[in-house]
Amino acid sequence: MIHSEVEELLGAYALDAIDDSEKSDIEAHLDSCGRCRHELARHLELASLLSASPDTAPSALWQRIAAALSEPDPEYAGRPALAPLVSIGVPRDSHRKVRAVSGVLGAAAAVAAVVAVFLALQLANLRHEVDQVRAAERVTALDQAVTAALVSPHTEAILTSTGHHVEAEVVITPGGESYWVHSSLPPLRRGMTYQLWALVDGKVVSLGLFGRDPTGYASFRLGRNSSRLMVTAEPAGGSAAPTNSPVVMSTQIHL
Amino acid sequence: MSLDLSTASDGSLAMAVARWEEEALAEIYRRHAASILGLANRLLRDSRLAEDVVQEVFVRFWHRPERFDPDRGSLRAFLAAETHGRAVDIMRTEDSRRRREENDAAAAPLGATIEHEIIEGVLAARVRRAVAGLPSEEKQAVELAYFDGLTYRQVADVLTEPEGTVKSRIRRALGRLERELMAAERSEELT
Repeated sequence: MIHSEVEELLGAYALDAIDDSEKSDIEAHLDSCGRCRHELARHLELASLLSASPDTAPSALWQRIAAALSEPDPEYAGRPALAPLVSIGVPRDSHRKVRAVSGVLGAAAAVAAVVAVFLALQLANLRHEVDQVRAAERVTALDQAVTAALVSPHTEAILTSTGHHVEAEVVITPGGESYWVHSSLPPLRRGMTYQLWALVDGKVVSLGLFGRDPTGYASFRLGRNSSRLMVTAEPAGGSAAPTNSPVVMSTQIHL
Repeated sequence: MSLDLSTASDGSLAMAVARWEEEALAEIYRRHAASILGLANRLLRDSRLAEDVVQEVFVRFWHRPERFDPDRGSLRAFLAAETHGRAVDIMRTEDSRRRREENDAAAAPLGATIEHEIIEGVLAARVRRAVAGLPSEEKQAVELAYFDGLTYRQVADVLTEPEGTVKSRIRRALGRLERELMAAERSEELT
């Protein structure tokens, strides 16, 4: 699908009014066209305003949602848990700090909601800059952790592709805290993600997802019996077991 | 580092959700749940199903916050798109269709249009004015696509218009609405 064809469909795409058969063509184009991505973002913003409401959402519904948060991820029910790797530098706590939120969502909150929406169009750029600053702060924290690991006793694992065209480097501390520090993995198409796996006692265990473009650092924890690391390309959201051949794989690791 | 929830940007709240901070999710709910519940209600015409969709969207966001990419749009737009997609999935099931038809027969206001669904409030009023000012063929195409959950091809069938005409109308309508809203913002700044 050429640029002008996709451009004509951006409005319909923003309204979720596209046949599945066309979606993948549009999404492939979006990956490489900043102009279309920009226009789509504006259309999506506008579409979300069509249902603008100054009402307050029912507090009873929030109570239901809050109660459901402690349940396992329904999309992964019965499947091995994935420990999310957040390569943008937002490591999740290893255990959940779930605190009850109680009370009625009041009028002040409704006003705040209206104000927040009101500002959405005007403040989008500013917000993005603030987010970037905050993301940069977190990346800095991860930088420090990686530096600390590198100057302390550690093991390095190099993951390579069969032709050695692509490689990645992982730093593993004696305690198992590990850091993805470098890779030349090419970006994947939309709808795919890189997934990191360890070979543990002969079984392949998921360590987490890297997203489509794993540049920068990420952290994860490696169990003592892990003997090898590998990365596969999987559908977005990850897989319970690898569905594709490894893109890169490490030599044996000795922890 | 604690986050001042009431003044935090949506992006910061999303990052706090990535750290399993439930209060951040509650703040996101306060800001955006009413709108997406309204959207789900409009599509499904069944308040219980609509609440189920909103619950599903929030719980999914809790477990998978990395699916929100701030480079691709605001959190509000992301949640609306998630809600729309899930509600349309449900609309396509037989059971839901039957229930909506029953509800339609019982309670749907005849001739309801986008502007009737948007209730008072500064932004809602602006959006309502902007939508009301759309050429009727553009408004119709947007309504059928967004609030009836039709693809642009189905819209073209319904309106017996060429598909190309419908997709152009939708795109033009969104561009026009954006310009109208920005102009309204500027004129209020000046007065």
